[in-house]
Amino acid sequence: MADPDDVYHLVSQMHEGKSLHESMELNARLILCLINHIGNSSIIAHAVDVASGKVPGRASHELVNNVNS
Amino acid sequence: MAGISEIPVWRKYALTLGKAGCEDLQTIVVVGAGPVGLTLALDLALKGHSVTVLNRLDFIPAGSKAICFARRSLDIWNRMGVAQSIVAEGVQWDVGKVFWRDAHEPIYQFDLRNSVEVQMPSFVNIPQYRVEELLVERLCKLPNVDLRWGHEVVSASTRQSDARIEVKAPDGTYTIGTEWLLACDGSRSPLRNMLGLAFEGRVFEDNFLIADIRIKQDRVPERWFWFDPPFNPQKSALLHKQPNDIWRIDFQLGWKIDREKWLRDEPVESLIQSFLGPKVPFEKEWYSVYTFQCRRMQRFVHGRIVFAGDSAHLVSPFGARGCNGGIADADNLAWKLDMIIKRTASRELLGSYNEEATATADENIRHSTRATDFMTPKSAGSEALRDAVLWLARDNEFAREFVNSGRLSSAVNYPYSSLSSNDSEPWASNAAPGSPAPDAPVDTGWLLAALGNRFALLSDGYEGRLPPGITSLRVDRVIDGGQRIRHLYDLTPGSAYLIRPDQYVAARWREPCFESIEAALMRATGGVS
Repeated sequence: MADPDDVYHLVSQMHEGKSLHESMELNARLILCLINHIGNSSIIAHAVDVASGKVPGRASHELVNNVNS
Repeated sequence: MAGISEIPVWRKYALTLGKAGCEDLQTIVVVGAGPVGLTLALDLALKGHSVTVLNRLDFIPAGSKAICFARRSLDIWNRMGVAQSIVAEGVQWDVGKVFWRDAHEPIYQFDLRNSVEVQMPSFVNIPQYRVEELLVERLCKLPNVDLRWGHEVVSASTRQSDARIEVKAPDGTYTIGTEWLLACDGSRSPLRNMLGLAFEGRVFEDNFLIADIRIKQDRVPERWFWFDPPFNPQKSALLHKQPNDIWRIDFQLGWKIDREKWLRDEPVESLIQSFLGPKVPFEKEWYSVYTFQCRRMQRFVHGRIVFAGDSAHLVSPFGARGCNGGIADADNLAWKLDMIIKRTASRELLGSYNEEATATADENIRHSTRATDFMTPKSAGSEALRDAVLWLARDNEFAREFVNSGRLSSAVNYPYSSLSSNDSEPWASNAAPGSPAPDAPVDTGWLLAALGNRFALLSDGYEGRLPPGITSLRVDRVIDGGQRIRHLYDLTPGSAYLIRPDQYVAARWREPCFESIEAALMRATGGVS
């Protein structure tokens, strides 16, 4: 990713001044929007595994074709 | 189990006397005169079998049970000549709306109307007791049905060639030996308990209140569902219209409730009033509090005893998959048992009932579990996700498909059924082997009615020989509607579908021949090919 700090900043800013509950709501909406953008259930299943610490993550360019391997 | 005296009576029948002390020999005994047992008895009786139905009660119970009957069940009953009166009396609906919090506009809505013309409506709402009464009326017209009221099975065993039961009748006990014992005795199934069979699954920690009330209102007959409405904060509610100005409201109450409180009328009626708005008059029809479970038996066939309906599997009510799932069992079982008894198929065919009915139960349990988890999130994270779906759904098309207020019952596909022959050519129709045959209008009425309840070859001009037991239905000889069927089934000249007696597709070919049809028939009747 070319601009990791910008992306991190953007998502982090979203939570500025929010309560724990509000942040949880925002995160959940963001996840659903990203699920929609990704539109591929095996990439999402892989992301769930990475987030749960079950498998190591991969670079984004490897994901689309290799997620089932 | 509630004492019989506590069960409300809808329609009383005369106790059946004069069997005590007898030693009865039967071919088919159905235990339980609920919708599943009655449908199974009717299907088998119409195929010419003598059927005995034993019912513990001497009445049809009133109260709140199933009310939503899906097109597939109506198609099945139509074959037996009872759908017309159910449809005529019931309330038809196609549209479901989902509301969130205090918004007056739905955040999501669906329309079940088919894009192609079919005979039966998507859904009909009618109380279960009326369906039972109509089925009993139909059964009483048949000379080969023996309905026994007030006959309770008190012990049962299964052997190689028959099942034996001891029955407690009003005037004494008697025994029956029967080739087949069909256990349609409901969720608490005494037969399942007598045989010591497990009923595994998941109990949901939630209580629901059903209120059937009478109101005079010109509301459209649609299924309305609320998440977190002002009249029931943090919980859900569901509204359905029934005939005769009766409406069913299903309020979620939560897990840790004062159960005694909700058995009294005042708190229930204050909740109803806040739902209806102040000063809207209503009359009580029936109130009850329930919890639910998703469970199933591991196998539905135990020697000569076969389980169907709630005795074999239970689901949550969201999606109308309980009673409709049971009717699907009856439909799947009847033609197989018919062929086994008539010796046109071997007993092996019954294995496919177990296979297909457990597949149906698993699909129903999966859908109803997911709907329930959406309605009652089990963690703070999943609650946030659910609320995010509802928040986004109002303005974002993509989020609407996640809204789950119950995925409604439709015919289940059996893509892996051992009765199906796999396609060997490409087809541009989703009527694949293991799928229900789609309906269409034809010049004589409807395609499903024309297919009937026997093996049929639906073809576009198949001129060859047919194995015995298959009737031919040729699209090229249908005057009106042929083009529509060709399109629906992707029929090209000479091609054909083999359709089972329950109107599921067994096989299809671009260029059928006697040998391939015979092999597919063999496979579809439990033989190997």
